[in-house]
Amino acid sequence: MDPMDAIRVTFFEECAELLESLEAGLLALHAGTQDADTVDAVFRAVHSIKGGAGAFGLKPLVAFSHEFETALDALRSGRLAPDAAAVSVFLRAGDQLGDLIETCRNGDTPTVPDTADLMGLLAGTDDAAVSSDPAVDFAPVMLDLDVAPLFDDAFTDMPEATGVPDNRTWIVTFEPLPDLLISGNEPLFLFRALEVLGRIEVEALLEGLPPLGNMDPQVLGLRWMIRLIPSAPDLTETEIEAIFEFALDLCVLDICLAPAPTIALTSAPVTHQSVTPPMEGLRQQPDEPGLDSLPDTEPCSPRPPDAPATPLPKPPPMTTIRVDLERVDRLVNLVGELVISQSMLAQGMIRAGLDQHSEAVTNLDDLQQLTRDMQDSVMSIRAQPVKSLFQRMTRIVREAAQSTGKDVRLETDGEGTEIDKTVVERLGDPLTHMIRNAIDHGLEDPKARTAAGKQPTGVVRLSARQQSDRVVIEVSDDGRGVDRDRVLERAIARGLVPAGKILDAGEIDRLLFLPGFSTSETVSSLSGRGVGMDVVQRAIRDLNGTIAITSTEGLGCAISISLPLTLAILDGMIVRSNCQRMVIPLSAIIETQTISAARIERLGSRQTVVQLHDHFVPMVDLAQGMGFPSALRSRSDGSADCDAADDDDTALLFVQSDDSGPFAIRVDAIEAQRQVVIKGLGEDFGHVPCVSAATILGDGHVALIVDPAGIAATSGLQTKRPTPALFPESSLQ
Amino acid sequence: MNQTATIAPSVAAAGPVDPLEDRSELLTFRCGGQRYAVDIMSVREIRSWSQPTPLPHAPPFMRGMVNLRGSVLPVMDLAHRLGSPPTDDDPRNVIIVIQDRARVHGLLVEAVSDIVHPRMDQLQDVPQVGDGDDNAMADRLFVVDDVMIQVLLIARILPPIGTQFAGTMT
Repeated sequence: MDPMDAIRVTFFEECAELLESLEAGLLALHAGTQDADTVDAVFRAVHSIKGGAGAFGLKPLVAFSHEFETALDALRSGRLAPDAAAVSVFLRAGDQLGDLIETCRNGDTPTVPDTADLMGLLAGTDDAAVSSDPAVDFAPVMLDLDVAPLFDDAFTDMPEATGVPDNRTWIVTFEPLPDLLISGNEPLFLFRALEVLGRIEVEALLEGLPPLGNMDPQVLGLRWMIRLIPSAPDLTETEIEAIFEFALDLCVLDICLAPAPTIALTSAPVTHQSVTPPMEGLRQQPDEPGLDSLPDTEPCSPRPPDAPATPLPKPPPMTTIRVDLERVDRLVNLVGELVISQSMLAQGMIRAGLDQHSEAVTNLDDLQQLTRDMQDSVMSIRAQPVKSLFQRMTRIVREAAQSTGKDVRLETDGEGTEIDKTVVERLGDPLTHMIRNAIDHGLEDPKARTAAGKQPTGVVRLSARQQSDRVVIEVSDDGRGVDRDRVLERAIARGLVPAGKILDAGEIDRLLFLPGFSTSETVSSLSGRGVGMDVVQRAIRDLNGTIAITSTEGLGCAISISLPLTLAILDGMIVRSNCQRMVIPLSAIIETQTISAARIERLGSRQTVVQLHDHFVPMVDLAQGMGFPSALRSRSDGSADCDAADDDDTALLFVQSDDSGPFAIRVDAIEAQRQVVIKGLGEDFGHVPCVSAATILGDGHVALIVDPAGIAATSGLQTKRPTPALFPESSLQ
Repeated sequence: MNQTATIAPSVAAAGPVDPLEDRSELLTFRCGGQRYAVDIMSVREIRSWSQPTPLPHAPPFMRGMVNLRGSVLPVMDLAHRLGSPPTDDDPRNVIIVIQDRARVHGLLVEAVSDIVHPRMDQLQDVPQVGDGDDNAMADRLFVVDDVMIQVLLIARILPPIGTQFAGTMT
């Protein structure tokens, strides 16, 4: 990859994180937390995005984030009140910013969203006129090599030089340390970035430059003094410092406000006052070798004597590292292998006839404990809090509320619940769908709510909690609940349920998950696009999860999803068929029967059906369905456990797949129910039908994880409508 | 098979040109009663036999997969792939783990013989016989101790990605 592309990728990753903190901050504002820290965090997020966008020449992004930043700055300086109207404008701007970043990430040419709202916010404040165009023309850098830099000169020069006497001038002294160039920084770029903030005058300070003969070409001997006349009057030191963010450890930076020309020399206290507040954030170099060679900096000393009196204790930042997901996965694999090796070793020791109480066996138990602990910790690396997912949903709620004209409040709970990263990523679409459904179909409009004696604002609750080794995510609303009469009527009209059949409430609710079912009578722009909850159900089942619905007429509806903590482990039934051990995902199994208890009938010459409750469903032999030749029975010499002829162990597993109805899989024996570590079949295998992945069993052998839908497809099972009574979550929660 | 033949030239052209130009260190082995060799740089390791787990609806030469230190390695019966009868299950068989760029594959062979360093002038191009489908998997050949050894091109042995099993589905 082009190194620049790699940096670009990192930038967009950072953008995603920044957008998250932006959203978190805005939501906090929305909820009424309006302290300076929150506002600063929001501002910083937008500012960092702007900075990065500038570096990549993403002009529309720079332009928009600049407007955003300007408006936020008004908020930060207190000129704009963080009332509900303003915050909602900011929230919308945040969404737009996210869209814009997404467009840029895809490499498309974005258009700058309308900033009229943001500008409108500013209109009430006094800096409406100053909100500046970020595309400042590049002014030639002034390098006055002849004149010794004197602050006094600078001050007296200023009125003529700036022409904007209202804006206070900042003096930035920048002294690079020897490593600056080596680490890839370039002063020119820093100065150009400064220029975005306003007009700059750069002066190189030549004293201390070694004689030409001694000069190290990799080290900058120069120091610079920059006078910055900001285009916005309320520029803060933190903003200037942010420009030097990546060079902070590599230079001695001194930022101070020059006294206003007219009052500079007479009103030093004013200067102190205006400098003090932003100081808390400034990282000051402990040793400032360059400063003593500077002219007298007293009027703008960055450290007024009373500064320590305003401590702002900040929690130590959480230390994190970015790690390639692939490396983590490798670790997960290795630990999985360690667990298998360990159990193989244990089996070997027992076979070798070691005493159960011997030292070796005791030590092995310790080893087992350690490897299990290690597996847990490695798995937890992949775990992520669902917070980011929930935050994204706030936007969905906002948009859905807007387009339906309903008043909606989203309540979230258990944001800290952690779940596998991939699960978090793949939950986005189903959750979006469920929330839209809840708002579109579940919640009533404010009038109907008031009539029903409820608060006009509807509530959608999104909660997550861990329940032993599963995570349960629930979307609930306080709307009208499932209209069962209508659901049943529609299901009958669509031929999903035979007319006149009596279903209990739960069965009717589960009809919503049937393919092709849509309750909304008019196709709304939100949720009625012909795809229904069946798509949600499929997505959840792909994650080895289950979904269930509970509804109370008039009080609301709750849909809960139960998911495994990790995608790396699967609850499965280890079965044997034709001397091969295979794993059938537990989430797919509805019921099991022994062959002796089952009622099996032949249909024609080849097909066999078996009774499940009051229905006959097709039956497939697992090994045959997988296309294994029956010759396999006689071939293997290594499988001593191959006693396929014994009919007593033969069992039937009834499974549910999405595309066909339930069917039975015949296996020679059910060996165990166990958690297995999923090993993906890589590209090397191409497309393997009937199999979703593989796993390695305790004895080191590879076993296939069966994909029931694939078996149904390759066995040519007719697509049949599942009857509601057979829905899997009824029996497997 | 025809597909393999048409795809192979482009694979060879895109790959690291011809390993034999720079280095002719070859691993020789026995398989289906014949002697073959592969560039030793493509050999990652040699493993003893373990019973592969068969894959559903796979072409007959795909023996299945084995556990390679926690990941799953596809294993191909090389003799069967090259047109000989399938190799019998035998604990003395070995699996040569080869790597072709990102792809890692196991080749089930009867036995590994030697590492040889033939001179360039000892290597002979494979003569065209008939339509040359099977011969296309061998690139050069040479003679050691009166035994002909075919040098296989890994990229041609491995089934093309994505097309491997699609055609065998019912």
